[in-house]
Amino acid sequence: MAGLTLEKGNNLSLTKTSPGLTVATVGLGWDPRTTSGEEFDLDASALLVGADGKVRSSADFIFYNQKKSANSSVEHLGDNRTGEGDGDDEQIMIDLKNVEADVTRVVIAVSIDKADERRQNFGQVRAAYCRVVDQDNTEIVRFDLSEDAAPETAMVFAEVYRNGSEWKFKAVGQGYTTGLAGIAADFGVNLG
Amino acid sequence: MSHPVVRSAPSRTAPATRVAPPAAPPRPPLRTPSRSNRSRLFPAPAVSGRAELDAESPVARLDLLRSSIGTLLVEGATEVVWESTDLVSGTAAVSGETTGTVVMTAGNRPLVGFHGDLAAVTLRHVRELRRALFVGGSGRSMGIRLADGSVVTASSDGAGPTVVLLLVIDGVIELRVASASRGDSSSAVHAEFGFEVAERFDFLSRDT
Repeated sequence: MAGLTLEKGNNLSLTKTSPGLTVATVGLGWDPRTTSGEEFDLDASALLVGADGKVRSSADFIFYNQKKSANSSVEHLGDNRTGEGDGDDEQIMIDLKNVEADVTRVVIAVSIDKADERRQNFGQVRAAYCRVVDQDNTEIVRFDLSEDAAPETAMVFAEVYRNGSEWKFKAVGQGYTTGLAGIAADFGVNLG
Repeated sequence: MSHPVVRSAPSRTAPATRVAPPAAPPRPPLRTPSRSNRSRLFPAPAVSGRAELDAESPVARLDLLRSSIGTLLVEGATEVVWESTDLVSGTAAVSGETTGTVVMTAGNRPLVGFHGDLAAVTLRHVRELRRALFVGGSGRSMGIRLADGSVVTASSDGAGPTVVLLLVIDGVIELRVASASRGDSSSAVHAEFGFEVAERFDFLSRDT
């Protein structure tokens, strides 16, 4: 069953829409446009952000080389690097009841590996979406990224965030030209 | 409201008529496996703020991000030998010559190889790499360019070729500079650092 479809900037209460929700799985998908150049390699990641808008430590950056948060409440479930085939290309599982209280937002991002070297960007990616399904695999909400993001090599697709005692989903669609490292730095992930 | 039944554990007290055995010496606590190998890594200096690896401080460890984003480039290497986690091994030289097997990543790029004069490791797939050895000239330095643009210089005092050994431990890169004592052949240098390149068996060209 298809869930509600949001526009960029809109939000939805996951808790109210799906009262029994305990585990939210964020599914991400895309289809790279056919080009004669090198293959696309897109990666999803999640950042566990506190009230100050920054991660508490680099352990809050969940990506292909660190697939679980410290208490396993957020987990990167896998990787379809080329975007080929039906269904979600990558999924990030959020165990809402076990997310630490000082994490106010889980930011969901997608980046293109070696985008600069390969001269690739999100303008060459179509049918990108972000959706949330519950623990029974029922879709709650969906955000289709429709706009052309030609120069951008990484994008924050969405956020799952606290609002009092409820969890909400926000369709963000914020692009970055600085790739995964740029997003990580923007949310306070320190190198070194 | 019913209350849960609390069962006491069965008593392990020996019968009173038997003499209690002498107390056993205290045992060290059992070691339980940690969730991540990272917690078991021995201490190594972080690369942050360091510009040089040399005989006095030969080891540095990259953080998780520098170990996995972008491309690690090594300037001054004439040859690189690698071993993947599947124990696939091979070599590439700056001259373009290769032996063994090239490990191709999902992005259709070699995991380790040369881009022009620079030896390169594709960090997106760093967990597929077990180790690599960059071989430079005798007494010459190498420059290790990290994805954030910083460069670490690696130099050695020995008479043999300068080498940089790259190890991947739980997704984190550790770099060690050394000097090979035997510079008479590539295979001797490889063997000194424990690399043995398996020859690729070419079924198609085999005479029947």
